[in-house]
Amino acid sequence: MSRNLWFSAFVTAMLVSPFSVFAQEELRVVEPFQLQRLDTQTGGFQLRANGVTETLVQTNPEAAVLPALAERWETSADGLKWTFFLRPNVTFHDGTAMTPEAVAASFKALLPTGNLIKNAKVKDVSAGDGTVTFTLEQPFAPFLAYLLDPAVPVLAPSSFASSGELTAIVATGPYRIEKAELPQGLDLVRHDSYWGDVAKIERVRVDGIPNPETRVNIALAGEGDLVLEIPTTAVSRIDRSGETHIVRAPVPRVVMMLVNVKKPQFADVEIRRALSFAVDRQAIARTIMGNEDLAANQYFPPAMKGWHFEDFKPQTLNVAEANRILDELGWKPGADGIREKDGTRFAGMMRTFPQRAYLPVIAEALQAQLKAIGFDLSIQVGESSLIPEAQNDGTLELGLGIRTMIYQVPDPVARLTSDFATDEPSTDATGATGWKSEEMRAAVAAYNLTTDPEARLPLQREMAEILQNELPVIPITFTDEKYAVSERLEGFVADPVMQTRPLNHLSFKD
Amino acid sequence: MQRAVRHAVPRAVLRRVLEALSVALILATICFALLHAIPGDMALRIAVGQLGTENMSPAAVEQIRDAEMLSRPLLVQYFDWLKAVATGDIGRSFVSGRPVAEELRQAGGYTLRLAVIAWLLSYALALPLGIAAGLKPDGAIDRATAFAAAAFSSLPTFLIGIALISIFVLALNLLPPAGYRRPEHLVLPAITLALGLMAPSMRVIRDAVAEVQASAYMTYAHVRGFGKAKAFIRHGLRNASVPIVTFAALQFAYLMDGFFVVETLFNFPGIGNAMVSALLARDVPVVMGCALLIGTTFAAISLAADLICMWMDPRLVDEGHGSR
Amino acid sequence: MAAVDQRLLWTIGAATAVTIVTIAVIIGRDPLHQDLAVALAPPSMLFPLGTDHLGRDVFARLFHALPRSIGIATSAMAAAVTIGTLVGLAAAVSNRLVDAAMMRLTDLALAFPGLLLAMVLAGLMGGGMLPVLVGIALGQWPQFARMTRSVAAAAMTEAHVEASRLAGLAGWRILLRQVMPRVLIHTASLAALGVGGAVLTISSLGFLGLGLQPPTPEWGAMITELLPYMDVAPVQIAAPCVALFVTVLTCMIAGRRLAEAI
Repeated sequence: MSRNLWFSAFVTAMLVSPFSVFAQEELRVVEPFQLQRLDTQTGGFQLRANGVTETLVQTNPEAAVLPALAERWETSADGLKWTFFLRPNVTFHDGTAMTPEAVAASFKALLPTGNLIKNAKVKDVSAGDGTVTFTLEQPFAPFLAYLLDPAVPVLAPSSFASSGELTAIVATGPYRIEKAELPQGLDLVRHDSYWGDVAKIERVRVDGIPNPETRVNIALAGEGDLVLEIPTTAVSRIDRSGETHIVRAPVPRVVMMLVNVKKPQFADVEIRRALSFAVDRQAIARTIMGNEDLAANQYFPPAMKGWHFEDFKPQTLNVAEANRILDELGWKPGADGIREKDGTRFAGMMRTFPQRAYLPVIAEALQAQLKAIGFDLSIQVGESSLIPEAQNDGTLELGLGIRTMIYQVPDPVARLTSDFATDEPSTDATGATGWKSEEMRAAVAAYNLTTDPEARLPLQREMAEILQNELPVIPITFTDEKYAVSERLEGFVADPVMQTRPLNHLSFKD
Repeated sequence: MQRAVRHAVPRAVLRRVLEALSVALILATICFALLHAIPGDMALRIAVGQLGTENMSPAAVEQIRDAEMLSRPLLVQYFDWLKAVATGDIGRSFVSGRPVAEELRQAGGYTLRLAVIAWLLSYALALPLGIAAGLKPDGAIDRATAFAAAAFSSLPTFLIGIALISIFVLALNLLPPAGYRRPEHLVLPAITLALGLMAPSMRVIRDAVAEVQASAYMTYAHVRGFGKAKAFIRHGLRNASVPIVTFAALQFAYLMDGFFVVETLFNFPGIGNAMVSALLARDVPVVMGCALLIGTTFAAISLAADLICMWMDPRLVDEGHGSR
Repeated sequence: MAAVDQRLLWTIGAATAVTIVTIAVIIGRDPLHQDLAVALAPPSMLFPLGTDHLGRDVFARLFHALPRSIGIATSAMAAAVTIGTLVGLAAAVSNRLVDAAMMRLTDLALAFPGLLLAMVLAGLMGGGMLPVLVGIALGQWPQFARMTRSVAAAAMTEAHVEASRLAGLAGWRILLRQVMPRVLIHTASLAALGVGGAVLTISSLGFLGLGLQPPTPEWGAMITELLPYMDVAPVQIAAPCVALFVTVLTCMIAGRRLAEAI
């Protein structure tokens, strides 16, 4: 027996020797996403969130656009030319200076890859004396917000091969990539000649860990300094552990029921209202999301100023009203308690996905709640791509999905466009199915031409109102982001808008 | 006999190598057919795998369809792949864009490391217990190990893993909960796998030893006056080894299922994870690469087992194969 | 051997009795009934094992899961046994080339992990009972094929089978009368072990979120759902773990007893 043990110990020692040496003073960030490719289209969001890439502008937690690599900007009278005055003395991670030519070349190379910024229809980018000028095909008021599309950061010429292909990420942020182990994680090291606040911590390790319980265990064991997307169920355990504490931030994200309005049982808006009346949002928010205030009585959460309206008639629980509507419309309960009309059963299959652990649980709660109005809900949990597939071929009945309203671009209109005002096929588990509204499209188009924030407000209200009245999707609950922050870390502030981690402002306590 | 060995062994090896190659190719072909038989838009699935669920656009989907030439007829896609494989190129991943060989080397390396440690650990436990049980069938050790084996094979891998995490990570704070970069990261995954592996192998060892003990030549050895232990070591061990080696090799090959659960629990970047995410993302080149790897590994292991068995029991050489 | 048989009978009898009693007890308890107001309630007279995160009766869910898991495992095993036996018998009676080809096919199927297959089918098709069943059956048939082939091949060389053949009995009759019974005896013990293994696979899929669809009660899924509440609901999480363990252990012991009886 002892020989066996010695032998296995020997082999163990032999096998584990190639492991890299672990540096104790590393900042350990744990996030749920795994980076598949080191390019800006795939990993743009993570690269920006971890302080590697930047662009001409940035936002503050109130979603106001502030200077970054550009110090200031101006627009031509016709709204077609946007000129940005570049910050002097900015150096790329390779030590070269950021010149207007480099910036213009970077945009020219990356603009075609930006999913969102393509809506701005940029015709040309040109370099001037310390400036970069964008020429648009038509006026586009929310251009600054779209410029924050993370697929289009400012990269150094050395990022591109001579063929123009992106081969490396050489950017301007407070951290540069030292080593990428895809898809597991990134090793970052401080960019010492950063133009802003130089980072206090020299090295950062970012790990992508999709399984939420594994992230919780890491937080509980004190193995992560900043652990993202902690599930509600683990909050009290982590707070009690003494190793880490929880920081909550309201992220503008809604959990919603997707409804195919082409299906006979959902075609009438009154039916969708009845379904909405049957949902006990307070109970779902309290029991599943851990916070009753997250109940979603309209599409936009209260934190979204100018989009959330206190005077909207809230969508709340009213089973009696729901039953009255359905009785009036002629949906009669059958022998099994499920309603029917003209041979159509009042039923539907709800597709959802397990990557956000709360989604299947909410689906289960909805199933029980909708039963009270004679609706038979069945559930199917699978890959999230099953939802857009079913949306495109028209087989989707119901879905349960999420939408982060200002994900990647700090203007909700970007996602409203792709979710509610487009003829393109669906690619996300979000948005309307079979629903089309000319008013919505007109409002989006008008908004894109309106620069004055005051003049935009009525358009914003109109868009929110259309969603509230026509219910192409039925909002259920909002979510908040929960970070587990280790006790040795100082200076963490959650950014609900861009969901970046200001890593350069973090430090270790002595 | 010696000459027979010299000729039979290379022939057996050659036959098994050819077999391994055809098995691997057929497996890859089945995977190709499976991926294309399941309904759904390939380009969309690939795009989700690459860009994430909230970051998609119709343009990105079309871009992938063009770049990976998914509109080609299936047979053309298949034969293009075969042609490339013949030249030693197993392609690039649709999702990550990196060469499949590199991805497999990385994931396979981590998995192999974990597998070898878990497997050795399980036999370090199973061999002494199994032999002790087999030397005295129906004795106290036999009964105890029989119960332990039944208990452990009745526990799903994920429960063993959760229990170990609860004890060693959350309660005692002795070991890290997840990761792959430090040696201590391997401890819990390896123990989890080893405990699951140990149960069946312990019984196989016990049965093999018990059978040998009951055989005529062992009785003869006793008659000749060897002590029990000595008789077993001199005569029994080698004979008992053949079924044990065969089983151990098979078990190593079947580790795959356990891997996926363990890799998920401990966030270990191994081949199980790579294969499942590739299958879900319809990453055809990676899936087919995995199939090639699994097929050849499986065949290589059973070949190794055969050779060891032939070495231990030269009678098997006459039949041209060992473990069957 | 008689003693073993008797013990086996006792085990089966006891299991049946327990099942009947529990079914009697849980009739009228709805495993799907939710009451969010009593979520995660501790055990009480009303809820003997407490309630889960949606206020459902864990006791009712636990026992409603039992027949379902066993049912799926048994059906999957029946499918695996059918495929395996047919392939194995075919290989045993075929000429060498076909035999070798079929056994390579079996080896190939052995190399492909069943849990992975079930997972992928579930992920791509959207979960449910069918992918679980198909995945398990596809993962398990090869071992039955191998066993059938070796048992059948051995049986066919035996004197009395030779004798029947010489007596002019048709090939399929020999198979049916003299080979099949022996194959089935061996199959029974392997299948009992297999049912235990299948119950484990079902729970593993449930644990990974790719098994039966919610809100269907299933032990693996119950463990995943309740795991985050381990410190506030220890009874609720222990219950499915114990149920899973005892069920699989029973199958394993039954399988072993059957094997010993042969």
